[in-house]
Amino acid sequence: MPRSAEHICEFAGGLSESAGPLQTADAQAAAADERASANGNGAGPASAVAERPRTPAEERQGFPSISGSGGVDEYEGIQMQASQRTSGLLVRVRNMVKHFNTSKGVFKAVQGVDVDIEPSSICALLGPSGSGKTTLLRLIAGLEGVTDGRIYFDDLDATDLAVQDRQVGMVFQSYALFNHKTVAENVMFGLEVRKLDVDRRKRVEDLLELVQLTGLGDRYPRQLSGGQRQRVALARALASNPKLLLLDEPFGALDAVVRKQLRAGLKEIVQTVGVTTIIVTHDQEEAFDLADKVVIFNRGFIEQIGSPTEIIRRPATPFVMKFVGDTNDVPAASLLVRRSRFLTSKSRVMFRPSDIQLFTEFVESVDGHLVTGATVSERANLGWTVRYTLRFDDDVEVEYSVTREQADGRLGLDIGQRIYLYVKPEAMMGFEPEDIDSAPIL
Amino acid sequence: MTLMLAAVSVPLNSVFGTVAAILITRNEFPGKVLLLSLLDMPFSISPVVTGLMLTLLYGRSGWFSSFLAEHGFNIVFAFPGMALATMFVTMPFVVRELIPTLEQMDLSQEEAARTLGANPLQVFWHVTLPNIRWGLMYGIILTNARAMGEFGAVSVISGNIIGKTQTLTLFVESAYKEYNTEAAFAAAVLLSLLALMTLWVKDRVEKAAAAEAAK
Repeated sequence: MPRSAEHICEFAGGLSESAGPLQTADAQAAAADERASANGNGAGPASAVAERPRTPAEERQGFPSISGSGGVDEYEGIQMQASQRTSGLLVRVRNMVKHFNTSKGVFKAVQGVDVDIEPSSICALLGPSGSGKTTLLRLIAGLEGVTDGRIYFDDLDATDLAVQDRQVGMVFQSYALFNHKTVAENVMFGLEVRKLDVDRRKRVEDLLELVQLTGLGDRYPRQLSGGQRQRVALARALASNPKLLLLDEPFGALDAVVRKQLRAGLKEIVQTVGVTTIIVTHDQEEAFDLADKVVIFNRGFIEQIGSPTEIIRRPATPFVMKFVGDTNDVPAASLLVRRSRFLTSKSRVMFRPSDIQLFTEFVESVDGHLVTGATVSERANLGWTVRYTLRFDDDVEVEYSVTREQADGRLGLDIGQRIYLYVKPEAMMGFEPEDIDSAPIL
Repeated sequence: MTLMLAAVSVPLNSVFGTVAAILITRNEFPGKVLLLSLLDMPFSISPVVTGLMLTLLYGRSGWFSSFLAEHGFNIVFAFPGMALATMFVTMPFVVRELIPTLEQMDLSQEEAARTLGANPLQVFWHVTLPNIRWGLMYGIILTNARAMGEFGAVSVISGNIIGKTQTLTLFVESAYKEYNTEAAFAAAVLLSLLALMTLWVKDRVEKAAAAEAAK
């Protein structure tokens, strides 16, 4: 009992560090320092990732559960721990396969996926719709049964664990709040059904403060805006101090402005609480902004796993290249590709418009790259950017974008103007059309 | 007798109707369509035929007669038979009211409850039931109204034994036929009052539902 009370107090202390969106850089740094020292042995957050967290069994030894106080000992929850920050869970998914039987046949949603998600990190599952990212999240939550493969939470094989015993917090795209309960009752729900031995009123207040909804506890979900509802859902998911937070397109139903606000808030909250987080999204900006690690899905397979920078800089497959940015797509036999001396066995070649080096006056070659002549055939006004369509002499067209300022100044091109350009062969990638297809296979 | 019939058939039909509706909407299985039309059968069969069917099954020369005689049960011309007939006739109401409500219900609420640590019973009690409660209430009211007013099936199976197996509705009919007009109308007024009460309850329920939706 005293331990729980202490826990709550410390939790509240942690909250005050994240004093709203106007937090200064100093305060953030202080919070980061605190996190680092909380990891013990003075190691920074980076090495904390590599450190193996303790297994539930070890935790039970270190912090004996308060058995005998009414069913609490059934749960190996972190709420028994004295530490303020949750340790976060190492999630390992091995050879995960999930097939759905539909009326049209077997739909292979996930086809043999391996992912490791480090403790206290944020991992984004990114991909087009129907690529299996949401299915993987639901498999980790336990809302779907696996067809094949294992899921490990730390050293525990969680594959066959019931949903309610997995100690995860989940936030849904549709908010999924209990409409007949008030905001406070919603947040309290997890504490009640798990019969957690904490000061529930205090806990709810702390959580509402964390998501900046102080004083709205007596409202009903219907009386809140979409952004507020999703914040209630986040508070509810965090209430029983889960080790793993799963977000299924959490901002999908919200408009762009609220989306950005919530994104900033979410990152801060998750880092404060220290919970391992998996977020499913089809919004690339969201994934790259929030995540330490991005997993790109297509057709039930993983195309690439890496840090946001790695994925932007070094796309591993044609699909990723196409998915994470603008690309020009030309035949491998086109004039440009041949003059760039790019060799490929594939039928088509893509490269980013930003890799085009353009000259308005004729030069034979630049730094050993042969230039190719083309004509400006179209100019599209897209607000802050202007997009030109360039046509080569073999009628292959590529797109080239410049900012409005450049277009008005030095790089202004007229329709019909002759220009010369080259693309480095390193920036090109050969592919077959089926490599970038994202339509689900049935 | 009328009240007892309602008291037995309404709770039983509510519980089994809810369970059936949930199982039907949450599961895909072959023969689902057939089962759904079977559930509608009491609507399409004349209540008198229902009474005859039950007599045929449980009556003295019926299929189960030897079994029933052995165990000393008396179903036809007794309360259990009348309860069976009433339950059969009122069976579709709760299920039919709940299936659309359950089908349009957002399942993620239940999933959220499960991730928050609720066991299946808690999920039903805290999430599913509050979501379907107005539909369920409406189904119960309809069941109740029909249970009180049912004539055909009950009249065949009850034998209309005065003071024993006579419901209010049956009494109205027999009194009227015996030119006991005053008694018939008195009973009819009582029945109407019961019906009005049911309507009043229904009205209150609908208002409460509307108030909740506006909240």
